[in-house]
Amino acid sequence: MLKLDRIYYKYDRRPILDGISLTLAPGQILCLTGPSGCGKTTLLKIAAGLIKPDAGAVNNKFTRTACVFQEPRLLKWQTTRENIAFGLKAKGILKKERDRRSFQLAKQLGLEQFLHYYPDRLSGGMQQRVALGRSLAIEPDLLLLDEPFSGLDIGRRRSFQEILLRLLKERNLAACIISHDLAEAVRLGDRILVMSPSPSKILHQWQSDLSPFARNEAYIYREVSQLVSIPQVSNCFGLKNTSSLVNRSN
Amino acid sequence: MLLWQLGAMQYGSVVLPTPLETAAALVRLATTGKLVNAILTTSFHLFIAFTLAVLLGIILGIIAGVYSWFRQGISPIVSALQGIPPIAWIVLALLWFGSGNATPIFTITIATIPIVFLAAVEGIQNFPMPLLEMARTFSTPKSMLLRDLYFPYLFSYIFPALTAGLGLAWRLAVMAELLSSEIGIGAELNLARINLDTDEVMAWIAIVVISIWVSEYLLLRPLRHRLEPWRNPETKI
Repeated sequence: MLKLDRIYYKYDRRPILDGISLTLAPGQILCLTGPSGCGKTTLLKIAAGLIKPDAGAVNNKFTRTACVFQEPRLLKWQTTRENIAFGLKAKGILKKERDRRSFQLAKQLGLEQFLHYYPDRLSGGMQQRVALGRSLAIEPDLLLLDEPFSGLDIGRRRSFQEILLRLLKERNLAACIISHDLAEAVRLGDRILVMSPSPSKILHQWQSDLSPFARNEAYIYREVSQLVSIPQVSNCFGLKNTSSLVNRSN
Repeated sequence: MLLWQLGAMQYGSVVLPTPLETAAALVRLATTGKLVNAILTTSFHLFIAFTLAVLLGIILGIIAGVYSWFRQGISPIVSALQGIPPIAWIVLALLWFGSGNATPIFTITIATIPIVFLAAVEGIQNFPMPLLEMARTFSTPKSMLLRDLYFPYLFSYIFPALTAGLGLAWRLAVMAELLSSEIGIGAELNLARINLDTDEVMAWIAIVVISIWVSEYLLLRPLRHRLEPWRNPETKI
């Protein structure tokens, strides 16, 4: 269980987070969404323990937390195999075992052909899969992902989402995914929290009773339309004329 | 080569010897053993001086990259070092060390340190913080940070500087030896000049050119290829 309790954070004396609380249960996928610059990344870094909040409590009961960043952040002087094994090496696991585990993960991520490639030779989507492999290698029970799909085109984005969902559910991992795309959030999240522009608070909560695998395009469409028709949500994204937007898209 | 031949035919072999005469002089030098001795001496000067410059440059560069007070203190000194013409160092070294090995070694070291130093400072200052943040999420130990993050990154900055530095070092070695020493390629070049032996002068120049090629293509590039395999687009292990 991850519990953030009334988190406040200021940057340059400007309040960014204004008392945000959330909980994330084991195995659950939580999507954090909100307009650009509302402090989603900051909140994720606080959850990861990378930065300290000015006030509030972070209570992370998960045994291992791993992060996937917006950019792959691979070491370009290391091969796919070495990059995936980075966290294992940091834990002092021996080379033979590292190689075995990174090979297994590469297979699950469709990267087994590319184990000896350096990142420069991989496409953006493959690099992001290597980064996902690197965070899964340490066998976390909580995965924090910061807009992991943002650099990918729609096809690669969709296939990466599928791989991610499958791996998350197979391993019963809890995940907190940041996304500014409501459709993406509805597609992936068991729960969505909508954040207001900074200083940000949680504006709205959405919950799905369907498994992500059972959600079809019509469902996603309907849910997004409903979310956008809530005045608080549409205001926070700066959408003025939501009714016409929904009608047109119907 | 053709231009060289034509020029030699035009001006005569005292001013410009033909390529063939130069080759003959090369063979002559090689058979007397002068050639090997001179190359060994100059390489020795270069090796010691370059190693010193690289070590000092990297160490000082890392310290200056990490601590801004040190950087601010040392920057004017480095600018001054860069601005002083190498010939001034040679004169100074002659006064300090006389005409032994120390003069070329000192000159090369002092003139190439700034190149390595500046590359190291830039490497440290441009280090991508996101990579460090990534490493922190895995609680990466310090030793691994050095080995797997800092060093390979720094190396990619320092290597081009080494190539530039080596070219400068070769030119300086010959110059310093010519003016100050009785041994080495530069000294032999000076001797050939005094004797008005233009064939030999050309032969020594050819040797310097060949040596620069050798050190770049047979030494530095293979070294880089080995240490940075990721730069080679075709690499598969």
